[in-house]
Amino acid sequence: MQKFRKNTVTIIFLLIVMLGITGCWNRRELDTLAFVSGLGIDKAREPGKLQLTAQIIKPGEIKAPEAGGGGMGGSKPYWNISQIGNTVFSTVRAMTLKSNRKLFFPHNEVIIFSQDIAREGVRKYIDFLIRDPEFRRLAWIVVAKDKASEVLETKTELAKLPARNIAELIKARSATSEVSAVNMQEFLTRLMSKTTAPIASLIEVSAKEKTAQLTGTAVFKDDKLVGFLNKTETRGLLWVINEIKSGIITVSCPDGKGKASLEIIQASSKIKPEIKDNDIHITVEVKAEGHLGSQMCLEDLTQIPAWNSLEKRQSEAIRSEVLAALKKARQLNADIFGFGEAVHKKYSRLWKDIEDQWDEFFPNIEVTVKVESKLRRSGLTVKPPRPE
Amino acid sequence: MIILLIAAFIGIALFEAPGLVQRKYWRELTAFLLFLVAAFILALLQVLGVKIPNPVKGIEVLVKYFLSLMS
Amino acid sequence: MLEKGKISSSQLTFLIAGFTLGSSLILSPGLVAGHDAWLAVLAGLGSSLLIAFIYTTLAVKFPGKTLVQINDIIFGPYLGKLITIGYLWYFFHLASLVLRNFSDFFVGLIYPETPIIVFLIFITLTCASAVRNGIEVIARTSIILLFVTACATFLTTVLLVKDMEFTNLLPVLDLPLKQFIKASYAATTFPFGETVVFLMVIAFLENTKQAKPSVTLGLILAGILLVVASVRNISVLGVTEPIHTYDSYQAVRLINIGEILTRLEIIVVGNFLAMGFLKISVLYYGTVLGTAQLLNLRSYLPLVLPIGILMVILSILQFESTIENIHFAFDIYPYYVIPFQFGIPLFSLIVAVVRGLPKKAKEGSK
Repeated sequence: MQKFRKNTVTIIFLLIVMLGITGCWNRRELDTLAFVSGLGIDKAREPGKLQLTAQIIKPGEIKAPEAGGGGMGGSKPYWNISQIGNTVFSTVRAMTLKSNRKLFFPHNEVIIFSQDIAREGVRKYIDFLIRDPEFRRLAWIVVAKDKASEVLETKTELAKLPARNIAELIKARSATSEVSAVNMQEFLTRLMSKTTAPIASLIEVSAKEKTAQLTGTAVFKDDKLVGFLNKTETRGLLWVINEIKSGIITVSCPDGKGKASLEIIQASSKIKPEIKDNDIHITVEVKAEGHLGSQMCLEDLTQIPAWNSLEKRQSEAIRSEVLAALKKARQLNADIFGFGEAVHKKYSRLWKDIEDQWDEFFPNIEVTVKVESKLRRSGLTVKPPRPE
Repeated sequence: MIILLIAAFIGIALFEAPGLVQRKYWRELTAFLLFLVAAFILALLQVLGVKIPNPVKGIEVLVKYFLSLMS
Repeated sequence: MLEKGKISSSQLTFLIAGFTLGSSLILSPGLVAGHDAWLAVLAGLGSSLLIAFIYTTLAVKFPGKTLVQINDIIFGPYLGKLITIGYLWYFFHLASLVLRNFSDFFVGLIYPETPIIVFLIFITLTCASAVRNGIEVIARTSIILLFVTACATFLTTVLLVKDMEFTNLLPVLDLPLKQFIKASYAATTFPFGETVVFLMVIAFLENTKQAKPSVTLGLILAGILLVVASVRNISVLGVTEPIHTYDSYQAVRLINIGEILTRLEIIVVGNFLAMGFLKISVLYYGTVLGTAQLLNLRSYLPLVLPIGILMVILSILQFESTIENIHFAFDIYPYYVIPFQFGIPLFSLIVAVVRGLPKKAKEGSK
């Protein structure tokens, strides 16, 4: 009897637990969710309001990659839904008035701010994007030169979704290292730093083809967009913050009759601050290695003197890129390199006096750029293809 | 909700009490019933939405009082 | 004897380590110290080793006696009972606090639409089943659970190496000394000092003499894991760390190895689940066993479920919001525990030494 009672209780208990731990208080089935792949934030025409554009994946359209490519017949594999509202959260929720499925953000890959909204400051929009558990910190932050919603409407050839396309463009940046790639976590880190200026990728929509193109870096001061770096300046920045993966440096041949392209294969850098007699001095040390990738002159570049001269030109090119970035940063008075943090880490005592006046210090800091670059290999050939 | 609550408590009583009675653990049975009734009353009050005084608030007041004595 | 089980010294080590990791794997200790939190954890570990020495000395002086019985011997039947009631309240309250943190975490991050009561009840039921099975079973599960947790902590750390920026740890000790001491003290009281509940458990150690090394080793083990987690979180999150409710969770969310090894935060949730279970079970066990001893019962089993229900009720009742919870944890809790973690144990030890108690007690009982 005792045993029977115990068993009954155990079985009832197990049944309750089994029902309970399936985790289904309620459920969100796949076919009730609208997967968002990109989010654009624009300024609405009404003052003080924002316009949100979410790119929703249409699962039915995207799963049929039959020969002939995407554009043929059928409708677009995505749906851009726009809504005007006061806050990001309320606007996101208001979108469910237009979409029969609830927007689902964990697969969001890019967050695009339009230029005008970025100029007014992005912190107020970022708050929701880091507070809500649905958003991931690995989404890329992008500033659109014009409207964010346009970027999400661009034509794509190989990718099916404009948002996906942008994410892939950003990932492919390492081939040139001429545009910056900043995800939400990195952006947030810079935003929360007292001195370091946030940066983001800059994207433009070409007028004719309506395709998206990365064109450099957007620079923020505090949370407000203040200017842009072009591709050269961007690479200068990336040299300093150790983000260079690869890229092509073009220099003129030592004989001056044509150009040679050098491929970067490895790079690293260090920022070394020093305070002497109340002057802040920063030394940026860049080390780079490259290949000779192509030459358009007839000279035999693999002779030692020419090779050394080429190495020197490579160093000089890198230096000039860094200096270009530095000049722009000084103009904007935005510490995109993190010099302030470097000083803070080394001189934590003195830092308390510097901290509040960093804006006055930064444009006048003496910066020495030291570049040490090597050319390692010359590819399949050692000489240009010409008759001896 | 209240029915569920009552059912749960009866379930617990049925689960524990017979064994205690069988072994003549009267002292244990009394303690068990006392705690169970206390738990039931508090749970019932909570389900009914009656505000029960929060002991943690009391602790807060006490700690703050001692801290003010210290400083 | 209410508890027939016996635990080995290695089981005690793992149980202490698991208990100490408990909720602190998610609610990182020493946060007030900013990017020096890991140092605060180390300092907290150091001072807690001293405190644990008091606990273990007491336990060794009175082999086979739980805190309830020790209190009776040292302070006499009336004052002793009063102190015991205070301790039972503390264990009970701490269990319901951990239960609440635990459920808040699940509701806040993973199951936003599930009412919190569902978690409270199911976690309590699971722990109740563990407590009913006795300390031996809890101690055995701790070995497996701690092993998994340690592996997971190291795994997530390794996977985050490429996102780590060790310069985030610089400059070392970049804060006023007072603030650092405050952070270290907070880390001592949570989680290390909470091991005072083991005065209810050490009594069942097979060989009481091994209590000191096992407890010390357990605390150090937990301390190492906490420092690893702390260094990981700070070096990954940098300046953004202090704004997060659950920094370990956020750090692990950032794992992205070739877009294949990603979205691994569930590992942290699993760890938390395992360690939280251990912590609640030990506290729950301490409360139930202590109450049974206080009331002179022959079995603690009938008290398990009623006390569990009371625990659930207190969990709901004590805070209206997580904000109140954070306020309590930072501003009240470190002072609230002074008598339980330091005052009474130290006083007990002094009284015991002055009155030469353990020997007399032994002779008296023989």
